[in-house]
Amino acid sequence: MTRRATTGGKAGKARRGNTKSRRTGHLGSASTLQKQLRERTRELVESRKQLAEALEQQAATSEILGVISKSPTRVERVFEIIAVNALRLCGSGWSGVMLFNGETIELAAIHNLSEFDGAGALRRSFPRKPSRTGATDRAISTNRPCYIADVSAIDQYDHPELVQSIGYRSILSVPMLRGGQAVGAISIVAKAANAFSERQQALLCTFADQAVIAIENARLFDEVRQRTDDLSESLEYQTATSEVLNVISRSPTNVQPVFDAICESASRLCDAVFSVVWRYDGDLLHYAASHNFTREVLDNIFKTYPKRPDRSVAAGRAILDGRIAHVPDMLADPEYSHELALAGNWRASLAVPMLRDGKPVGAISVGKAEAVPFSERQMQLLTTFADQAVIAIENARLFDEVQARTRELATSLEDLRTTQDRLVQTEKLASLGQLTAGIAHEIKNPLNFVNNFSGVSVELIDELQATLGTIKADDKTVAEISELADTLRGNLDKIVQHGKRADAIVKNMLQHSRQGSAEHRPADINALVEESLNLAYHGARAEKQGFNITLKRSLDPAAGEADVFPQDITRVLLNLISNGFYAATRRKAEGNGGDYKPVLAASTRDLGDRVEIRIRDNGTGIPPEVKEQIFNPFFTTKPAGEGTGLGLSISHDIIVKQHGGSIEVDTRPGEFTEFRIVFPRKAATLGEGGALA
Amino acid sequence: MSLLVLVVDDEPDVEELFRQQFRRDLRAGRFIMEFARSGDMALQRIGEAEGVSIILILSDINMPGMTGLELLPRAKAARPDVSVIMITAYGDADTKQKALEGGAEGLLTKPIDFGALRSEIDMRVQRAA
Repeated sequence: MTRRATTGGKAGKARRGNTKSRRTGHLGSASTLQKQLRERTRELVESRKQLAEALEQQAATSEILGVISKSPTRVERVFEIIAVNALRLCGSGWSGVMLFNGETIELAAIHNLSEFDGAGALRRSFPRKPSRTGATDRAISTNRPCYIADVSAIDQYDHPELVQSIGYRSILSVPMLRGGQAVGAISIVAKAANAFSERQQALLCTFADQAVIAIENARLFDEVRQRTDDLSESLEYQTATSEVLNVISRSPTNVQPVFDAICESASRLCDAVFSVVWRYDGDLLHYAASHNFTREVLDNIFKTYPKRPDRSVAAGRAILDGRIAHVPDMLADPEYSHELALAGNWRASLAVPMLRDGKPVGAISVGKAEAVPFSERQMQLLTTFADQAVIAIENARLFDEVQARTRELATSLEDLRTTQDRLVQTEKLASLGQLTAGIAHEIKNPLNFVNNFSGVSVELIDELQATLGTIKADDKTVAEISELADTLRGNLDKIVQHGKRADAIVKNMLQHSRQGSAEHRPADINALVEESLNLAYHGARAEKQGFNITLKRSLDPAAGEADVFPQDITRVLLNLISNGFYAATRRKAEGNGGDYKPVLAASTRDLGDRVEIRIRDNGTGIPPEVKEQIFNPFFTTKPAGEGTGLGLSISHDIIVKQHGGSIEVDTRPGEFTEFRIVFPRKAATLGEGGALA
Repeated sequence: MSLLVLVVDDEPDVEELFRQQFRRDLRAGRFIMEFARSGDMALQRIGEAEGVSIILILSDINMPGMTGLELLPRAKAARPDVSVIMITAYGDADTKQKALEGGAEGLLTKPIDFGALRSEIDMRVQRAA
């Protein structure tokens, strides 16, 4: 840093004169000696004075340096000390330290100027742009020292009001230079003209350098402190966000702990009086979590939410706009809900949206008690939290999805098992059916012979008796022969009767496993039920005298048509209805009359792409141990000769295998039995097309 | 020339049953019955039928070796004028259709309705007379 004064003044000339005279002096006469002695004495005094001055200067600079090193951040204190020392070393008057920010000059310190002397006027003249003729102003704008020996000698001096109120004539100002540019100036002012020497100017330059060091120190210190603060804030923020991440990883299925953690951290790091996490379902805003809310505010929220987002709160705006909503002072924001803010005692509010694929799924909002804007870093922090909340939500959603999928798969597996079990059962029935068919065929032929031969034998017995009638024999023999023939005929009748019974069983068995049946066609379900009811009813009346039962019909007109094998469905219905008649009749017989009224109800119901038929009787019901077996072939509870045990087994096959439907039974012993058949409307094409064997 | 009803069935007792059922007609000599235990034997008998007039062939379908349905077209080829009635335990539409396509006059299901069979034979006996 170079600073050689060029401004006018006596100080510089006097110093140079002294040095010269000392070098050119020599010994001579007494007068000369005397002159020399005076000269030397003067020189001695001068150098003593200089030494004292230098000592004083050193003391001053070391005091300033001491202040700088003791309070590196308190640059104002340094300025004060500089102002004090500058004045002390430069004689009477007052001193000031000014700072320049590149545009305007400000007063940083002032010394020895009382309010009576016009300190107020001086203060009022700042801040100002550098003026044309002011010493401080010129020192700053030219980056060089400026010495005005007498302001009254300057035409149109820029600060007449100061001269008037303070009353000064000399003013010396040196710039404080950093990188060659003025960052301020030190000025000393005196009431007298020509008050300052060149030496004082040099001293002031040293002070200026020290002031710059102090400023620089303070700036660096501030910078370091700022950096440290920033770092520790960053660390704090990072710790907070990593804590949230920890919560996310600890709680992958539940977002609540994540929201709670976010709320807690957001409150703390944003100096907020509250923080809330909201969730948005695309229509309504839902409260999810909060921190520090008063009971009153919470109650208010519970009462009003969920609701559509609006502009009355920051969260609503964040959702609606899809970006950060910042309300630095809610009182200055007419759209903002003052009522809620006053209840919660906050003035400023900030909300960031939680965005997934650019669409809002929620928001985090915080509020501050004072009307102070939130910092950029706090917005960033809240944005990070919002991102984390989205991650947590997404995690939980994925987890739920995986779980749902797993459940679905488990259900599918269960269904598959059930289907497999049913298939195995059906397969058993089918192979049993095939076996039955084989046996039936094998039995049918010999059975035919039994029936045919016994039929012929009855005729032959008749012929035998007729032939015996022509033979002469005693009455006793005739009677004996006749009796034997009668017995034989009786036996043959029995053989025919039981043969026919066996034949009926075999016929049923063959039907059970027959190959192909009549064609399928769309059939009116209600008509089929009606027809079956009539057939069964008249059949039962013809078979058993005195049979009677109340028939109830509840046929859904919407039952409509279904593509079925009508003969087979009729067969099933006949079977179920006959069973119902049988059960009701038996209950009546067991009850010895009483006021029991046998009822059989048939109902149909439209199930969309399926149809339901129910046959219900109020008969004896089915005991649990029997219920397990009713669909098994050859299982019957009817007395020998009354049932083949194939009716329900065949019905099951027709409904389940042939028509791809289901048949279930609901019963309570002594009360009722209800069969429920359900099959698809496209039953014939869905089932196995009637190929049962 | 005697009238012949040829019965084809692998079951030996069929002969006994038929002879008992039609004992009066046979005793009266209205027609005679002969029994072949296989399709081959039946074809042989048809081929060497001299001095007899075959009025009807009754054939079981389910037989070891040549089945009734295989025998049918060959019998019809040998004697197109002779009626063939098939007998079967399976009265289903499919079997019936096959029998009729093969040239059978009709299909009787077991157990045989002898009343119906007797009227079939009677009709042909009268026609031949």
